[in-house]
Formats: sequence, structure tokens, C-alpha cells
Amino acid sequence: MLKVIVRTILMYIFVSISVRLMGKRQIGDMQPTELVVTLLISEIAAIPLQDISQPISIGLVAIFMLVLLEILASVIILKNLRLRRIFSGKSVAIIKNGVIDQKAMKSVRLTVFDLVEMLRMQGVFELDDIESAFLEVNGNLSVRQKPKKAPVTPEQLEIDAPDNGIPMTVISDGTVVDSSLKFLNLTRDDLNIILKKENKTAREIFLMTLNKSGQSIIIERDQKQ
Amino acid sequence: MKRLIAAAVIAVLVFTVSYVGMIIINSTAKEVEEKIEEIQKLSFEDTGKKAEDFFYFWEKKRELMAVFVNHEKIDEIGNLAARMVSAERSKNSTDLFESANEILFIIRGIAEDESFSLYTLL
Repeated sequence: MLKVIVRTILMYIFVSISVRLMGKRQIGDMQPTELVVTLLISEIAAIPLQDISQPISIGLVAIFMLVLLEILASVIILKNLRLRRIFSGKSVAIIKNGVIDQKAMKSVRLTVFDLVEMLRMQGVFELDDIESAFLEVNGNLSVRQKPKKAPVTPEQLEIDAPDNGIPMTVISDGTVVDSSLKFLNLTRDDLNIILKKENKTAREIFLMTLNKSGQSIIIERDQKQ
Repeated sequence: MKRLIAAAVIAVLVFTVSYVGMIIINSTAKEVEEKIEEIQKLSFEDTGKKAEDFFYFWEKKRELMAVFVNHEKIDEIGNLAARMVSAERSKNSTDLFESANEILFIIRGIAEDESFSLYTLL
């Protein structure tokens, strides 16, 4: 039993390292090769756990070889457009100038139901509202609405919209996040001044966000907002 | 760039470990073959100490081999080595030499599995 425990810990660590080395992608955003490698890694990792007579080194070597190949493939694809098209495919225009390209839909085996569903997920319920739509290599649909149907922007209304910047998490579960402070060009002393005004310490705070305009949201630990 | 460096480190690690494993397996296989062939050349009366030596030899080697080879095969050789010793003590020559043959068969199979050939690759 101890063997299984130790192997599981080792495989968990190595698989985590491998996935980390491959880069940040969610399942839905993965390129085909990345998805294949991820599935293979999970299968290979299970073998030494299920069959303890198999040396763990075989699983580890196979996993690391897959990671190596994936990294090399991603570097090559980055440099070579043609190879990128072979490995990852290319985006296909499903709707052009408001007209559905039925031939393109057939070529990617996309049904009308699939298309309408994907449009609904993008918040588009009327086909007439769409100017163009692209089926991306990761299977997502990118949509551009017709200018007359698109949401109005402050610029179009000639309204001066304030830019408060992105709120950054500066305190997480009592711990100060220095990288967020750096992003906001602030120091811990600046944060302490803000906290002093609120009569709080970092340890008392569950979550604190701050934007470049100095607006903050504070949620205290084990208390209501 | 970082990922390329990581890839290079992984490549060196993987190939080094594989190469070292191959050397260990081949050298151990050679040693086992030599010891077993020595036993096979002896008359039954003289095999006692050699069989025991081989048993302890394999006990030392098995841990390192377990990193690269299927544990069932390693255990099988260990069991056969124990059988050789008990066959010698119970004066069963057939059993002793049979076990020796089986050990040779298994160890040659292990070494062949590590070799590069169309058969092993496919």
C-alpha cells in the first residue's frame, strides 16, 4: 500500500510539473496536439499507479518525452506558419458579410443547430445581427456584430468615460500580493496607509481589490461584506 | 526561451536516464549470464556455493534493476535463484539446472527487450 501512496505522490508531482511546462491553457482553448498530449499524459500516469509491477521510470520517461515533443512542436509552430496550419488547422469564416457560408459549414462539419447554439453562447440571438463569424482552431466561435446592432460605446456617444483601470487583488486571505502592488506602482507602505484609513490590518482581510484610481473593495475574514 | 531551456534539460535528463538504464541492464544481464553459465559447467556436487553466491548477488542487484525492469520478471529471477539454492540442498540436480536455464532465458529476454530492433520498437 505504501508503494501506491508514494507512487501516487510522485506521479502527481511530475504530472503537475509536466502540465505546467506545457503552458497555461484550459481544455476548451487547447490546440489539437496539446489536447492529445494531455490525454496521453493522464493515461500514461495511471499505468504505474494501477500496476505496481511496472517501474515508475517508464511512466516518467514517457511523460517527459511527450512534454518535450509538445514544447518543440509549439516552438516550431510559432516560427512556421505552414506547419502551424498542418498541426493546428486554421480558422474558418462561417459567416461573411452577414451571409452564412454553407460550404464552409460542411467543411468543418458544423450543423445549423451547432451554429445557433454557439451564437447563443456569445449572446447573439438574431442571425441578422451578425456581420462575420469565425470558427477558431480550438472550436470556439468568434462573432462580430453588424455596427448598427453592436452595443453602443461611450466614444460613439461622445461621452468621456473614466478609466479606473483593472482592479487587482492586493490582499488574498490575509496575505499581501506584492506582484499586484507592483502592477499598480504601489508599495506596501502605500497599502498600509489605505488600510490605516479603513482601520484594518492585512491579516483581518479576506479579499481586497484596488484599482489605479484608488478605489478599493474590502471583504473581511469570517465576516459579511 | 525559458520553455526551450526546460525542453533541453528534459531531453538531457530523459536520454541520460535511458542510456544509463540500458547500460545497467546490459551489464547486469552479462554478469548474470556469466554466473549462470559457470554454474551450468560445474558438476552438481560443486554448485552449492555458486548457487548461494548467485542468490545474494541477485538480492543486491534487484533494487537497481527494479527502476528499469518489470518487477515481476525481477521477482521471478529471485524465486528461481532461491529454488536453485533449495534444489542444491535437497540434492535435486534436475531442479537446479532447470532453474538455471530459466534464469538465463529470462535475463536474455530482459536484455533483448532493451535492445533496439524493429521487433522491440513495434
